[in-house]
Amino acid sequence: MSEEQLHDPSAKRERRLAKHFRWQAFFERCAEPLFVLDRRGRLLFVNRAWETLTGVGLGDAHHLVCRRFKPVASDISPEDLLAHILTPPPDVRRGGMGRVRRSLFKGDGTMHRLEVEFLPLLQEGERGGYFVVGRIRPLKEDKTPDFISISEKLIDLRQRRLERFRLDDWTSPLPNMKRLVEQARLASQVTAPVLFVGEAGTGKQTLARTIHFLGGQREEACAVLDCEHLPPAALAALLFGSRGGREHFTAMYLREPASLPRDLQLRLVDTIRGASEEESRLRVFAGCRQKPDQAVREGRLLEELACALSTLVLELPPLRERQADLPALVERLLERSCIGREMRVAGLDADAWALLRDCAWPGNVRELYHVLRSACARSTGPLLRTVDLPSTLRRAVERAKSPPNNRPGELPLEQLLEEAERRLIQLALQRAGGKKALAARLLSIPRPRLWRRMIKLGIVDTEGPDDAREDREPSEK
Amino acid sequence: MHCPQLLVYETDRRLATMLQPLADKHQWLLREPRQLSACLRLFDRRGPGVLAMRPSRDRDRELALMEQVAWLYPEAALLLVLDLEQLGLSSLAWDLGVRWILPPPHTRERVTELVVHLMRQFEPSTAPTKGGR
Repeated sequence: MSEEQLHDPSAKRERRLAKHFRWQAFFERCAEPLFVLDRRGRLLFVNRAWETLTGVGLGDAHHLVCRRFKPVASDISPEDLLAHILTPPPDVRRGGMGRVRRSLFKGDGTMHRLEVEFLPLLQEGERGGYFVVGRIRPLKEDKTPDFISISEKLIDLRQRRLERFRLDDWTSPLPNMKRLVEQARLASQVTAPVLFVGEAGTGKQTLARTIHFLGGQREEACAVLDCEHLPPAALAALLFGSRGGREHFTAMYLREPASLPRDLQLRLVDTIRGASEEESRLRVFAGCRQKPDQAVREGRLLEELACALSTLVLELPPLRERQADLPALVERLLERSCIGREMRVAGLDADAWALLRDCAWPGNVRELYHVLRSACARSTGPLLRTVDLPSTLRRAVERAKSPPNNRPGELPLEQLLEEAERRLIQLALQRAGGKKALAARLLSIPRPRLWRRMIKLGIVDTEGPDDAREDREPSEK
Repeated sequence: MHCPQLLVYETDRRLATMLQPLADKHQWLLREPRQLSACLRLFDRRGPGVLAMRPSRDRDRELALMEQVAWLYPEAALLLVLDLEQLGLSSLAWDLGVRWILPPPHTRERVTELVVHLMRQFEPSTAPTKGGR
């Protein structure tokens, strides 16, 4: 950028402005750096404050296309860097407001941290789309840019990772889920601590990452710290040590903070309270399986920590209360389950669907994902069948469907013996890989007797169809 | 019953040699896959476990593998062992889904303590792991 271009003569600028509309003159007088993008992401206008901040004149940047993220590295061209800084996040292109933090390298080698806010304005007419008005706010914290050691491929990898966490994936017709999505959207606009409460496998961590990647700190890292399965000393060194590594992330998700020792919980309270007063905030997310007040009553969670974490509390419903979401969830998880496999599975047949609907899903979405992934591994066709689903799932559904066989206090011996026999036979069949001959040997009974007991007890032979055919012939004779 | 598995991904077997006695003592299955498909196959067959990775010069491919494992097996515990402290790489790794980053020095005590804690959730005697997906 030449010196002449950087400092346009004011007279020339005034002449140019005289031709412009009033809004441009209004923006021009604004002390904050502003810019306007058209619906195609081309830079239409920047004000004088913007030119001063970036060191680039409107003449050079006019019609710069700001549609894709470029790597944050010191050796990229000024145009690419500007395009990266001004590119709105995906939500803005869909009409939502957005705020991101980005880095600007200046010619003298210094790096400046900026917060860029985007306001989309719907365009009239058939063409539709959004104009975007943007505002840039320089941040006080200036870090040494170590990002330069990261290759473009890795930056792209991070971008792909970011795109995996979409709030659209949480869209649901259910009122409690709609409320959850709105709460998540609100949480992405602020930097207050968020506490996620929900059963295991409901997606607490996924939603936390989604909120982080949607918010203004999306360019910063978010660390997931498992307080339950990491050594407390290592966690303490990371969070409170002088060279622990906390500078590597600006947001963290604490999984089960009630598992932390009490002294660490106390120090964490100070950190969270201190972070809210700093200019560069540490965003804290936390996930608990039980409600915080219950953990406080049980003496596992400090009341102060529960209060500090509970600025926003998002409750995630279990999967059994989200029957209406099951088709969309299954479709998405099937797509994910097929990654790395040759066979593409398009859906489930009617029986398999019925089984999924009847299941109580105690492990929630995570369990559903595991069931689908293992079924995809077993599947031989484009549709998953009941036999592809794990036998444990089928048995759990059968057990849930069967009526309670005794009143409290009663011990019907016949029924109990039959149940015990059924379980033993099922266990033997499982151990024998579905082979009746081997199962009969394990149970020390003749094979025809095993076959008769299976018929009597209503045990469905689905484990080994080939072996079953072989077995059926002699017993039928 | 499958014994829990510990996958080690590195080029010079330094980490694997350090962890082998520990694996023998705790009856873990220690494997050293060199490809993504092998990692996924092991997790598919035997359930998720710990994947300890020491990136080499081919960092792009190795971190892509790590991201893929984190996405497909969210409950697998990914441990990144770095020979050099790098702010950019560490920040990226946290975003890619690693459970812990171990900067130097890699003393036997530090590695052992961390791996034992991480492996505990996959051991059959403990309650099934619960928490955020």
